[in-house]
Amino acid sequence: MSNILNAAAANRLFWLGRYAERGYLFLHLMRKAYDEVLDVPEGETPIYSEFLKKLDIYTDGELDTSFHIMDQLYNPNTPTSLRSIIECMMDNAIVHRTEITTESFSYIEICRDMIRKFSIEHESNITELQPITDALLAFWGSIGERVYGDRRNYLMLGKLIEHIDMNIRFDYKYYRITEAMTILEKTIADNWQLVDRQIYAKLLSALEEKEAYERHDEQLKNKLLKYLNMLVII
Amino acid sequence: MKDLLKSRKSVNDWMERYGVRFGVYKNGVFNEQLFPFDAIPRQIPADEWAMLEKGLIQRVKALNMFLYDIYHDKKIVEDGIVPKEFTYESKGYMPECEGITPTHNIYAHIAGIDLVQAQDGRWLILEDNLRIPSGASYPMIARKVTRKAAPQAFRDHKVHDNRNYGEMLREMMDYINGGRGINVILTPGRYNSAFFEHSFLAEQTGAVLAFPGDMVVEGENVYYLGINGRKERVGAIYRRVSDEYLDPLAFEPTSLLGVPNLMEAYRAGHVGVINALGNGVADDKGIYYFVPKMIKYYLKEEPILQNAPTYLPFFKEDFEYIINNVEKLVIKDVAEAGGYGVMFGRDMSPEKLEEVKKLIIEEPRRWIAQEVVDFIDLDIIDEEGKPSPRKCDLRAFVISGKETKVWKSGLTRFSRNPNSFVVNSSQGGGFKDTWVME
Repeated sequence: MSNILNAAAANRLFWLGRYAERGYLFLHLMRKAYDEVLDVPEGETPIYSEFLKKLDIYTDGELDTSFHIMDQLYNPNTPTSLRSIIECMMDNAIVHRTEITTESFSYIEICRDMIRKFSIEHESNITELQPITDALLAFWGSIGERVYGDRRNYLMLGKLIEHIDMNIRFDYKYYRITEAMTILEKTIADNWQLVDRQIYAKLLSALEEKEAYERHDEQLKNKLLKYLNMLVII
Repeated sequence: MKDLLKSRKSVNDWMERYGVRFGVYKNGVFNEQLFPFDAIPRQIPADEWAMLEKGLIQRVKALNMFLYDIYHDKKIVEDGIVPKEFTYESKGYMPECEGITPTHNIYAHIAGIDLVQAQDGRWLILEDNLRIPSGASYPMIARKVTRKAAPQAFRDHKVHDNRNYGEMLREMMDYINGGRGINVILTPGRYNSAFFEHSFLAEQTGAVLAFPGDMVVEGENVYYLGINGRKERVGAIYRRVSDEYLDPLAFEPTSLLGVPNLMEAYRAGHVGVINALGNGVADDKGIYYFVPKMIKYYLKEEPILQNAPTYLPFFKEDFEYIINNVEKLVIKDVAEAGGYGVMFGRDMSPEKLEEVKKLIIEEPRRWIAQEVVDFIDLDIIDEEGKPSPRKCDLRAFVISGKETKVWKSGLTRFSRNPNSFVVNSSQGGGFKDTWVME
């Protein structure tokens, strides 16, 4: 098999990696927020509002939490919803059966079938969505086992960028960010043509502001997210 | 076999999981749907298959010789075996292909020959598909899944493995390629009805799946455009794009699906195109009538497989027969495919029959008529889980590379509607695996 891959394919694999990680972390963080909402008196929704804000999702007027959670999970017309994330994941995967193999592709197919099924049933208990998390983890396991070389790098690059992005948004501990950055550096070590070196230097320099990060400095956070999302140039 | 029937749901779940779908456009909206799979396989005994294999190879060899002749010496027309009205006036004839000799003189590298088995056991040819025959991926993936879901069935029955179709294709592509470059499968894109097949076959053959815009022609060579300016020469293109869209500079100028200047590279013999351009002239439903004559003409052999009884209104005697018997015949539009343009006289009102007669009188070359072949029913498991008979056909796949070989399997399609003879997937039909017994 030829190893040649064109720019559009590399770009789609990168975005497949991003969406798969976004879907996984979205569910993980949503479960966390859902759990925390249980302890808050009805009508008060600061935790959930905070969750949405971190994802740059802004709501008009008063927030009906349960309606909004359903919307964020299942509404195909809400661009930030889990359903939309999975549909985007599928859009990028379906044209890459050859690159990711039918076995890996099947886990994406499982996610899409499940989210569509749940969307019809409108299952509000988020624990019911655990099979989607399982399928996403199996997808990455399959990629690790079956996909090599550039194809894997593009996928992993997407996964890592999304992982770091979400970790920054949700104020994960500083060491978690630097650990992920170390893996990112290893991934791009042989693929410098895929990233903007100047931006990478700026990102590293901004990350040196450990103290500002730990006090959740919004300006720094925005700067980090900006550089991170400008980094890859495929 | 019980094992197989019990696994029905699990097999369909696996198919869903692997994304075994086909796309349908309805009212301009694209929908993907599962291709309904029936777990009871069609079984073809070894001796019957041996006869089919010989007949199919014979037929495809003659069709390949016919295509070469049509675009070069034209002897068959000069000798009055096939009238020019059915060749040079056919919609499938492409004057742009005159004098072009494809690599190793092969035109129909992949031929999909549709057959039915009559009640008396005879196999009859219904149609030759020599342009872009599709469907092999479905029984191939179905076999993969059923072996997993119902292993006992394969312990109890000795069946030829059909999971080698990808390998057969790759061998043929390599032969056509001749080491000139990479093998590519060119797809029109994910919204093509057969996109699953394109991507699955690319995976199975190890070819690069190319989308419109992924290739360029430079200096009469075709290149695949890689990332960061990398280019790789293409030696063989298994195109799943119709002739008229393959090169906007040679054919349909508005086509965004093809490769500009591809014809230059093809004409220069610098790239193999699978199947060759211009094959439509040989799988025209009108030309079908002449295939037994071609076999005799080119191979000096008697045809092993017969056509379904067919009449051409173009010939006076046939014309009269058709006009007098239209109510018991099947009328087919030669320019249509996929089950479209097929009309059963017995289902038509007297007014409609008159209308059809008028159409035949106005354009005799556009139609063929066939006797209704009462082909055998095979059981499927219906929605209530009970065996129920349905009309089935068989698409056999003949691969022509260094040798001409028949894939030991095929796509058995069945009609969903118990009263229908139309088995095409685009008309709601389903499929079965085809077991060629050892």
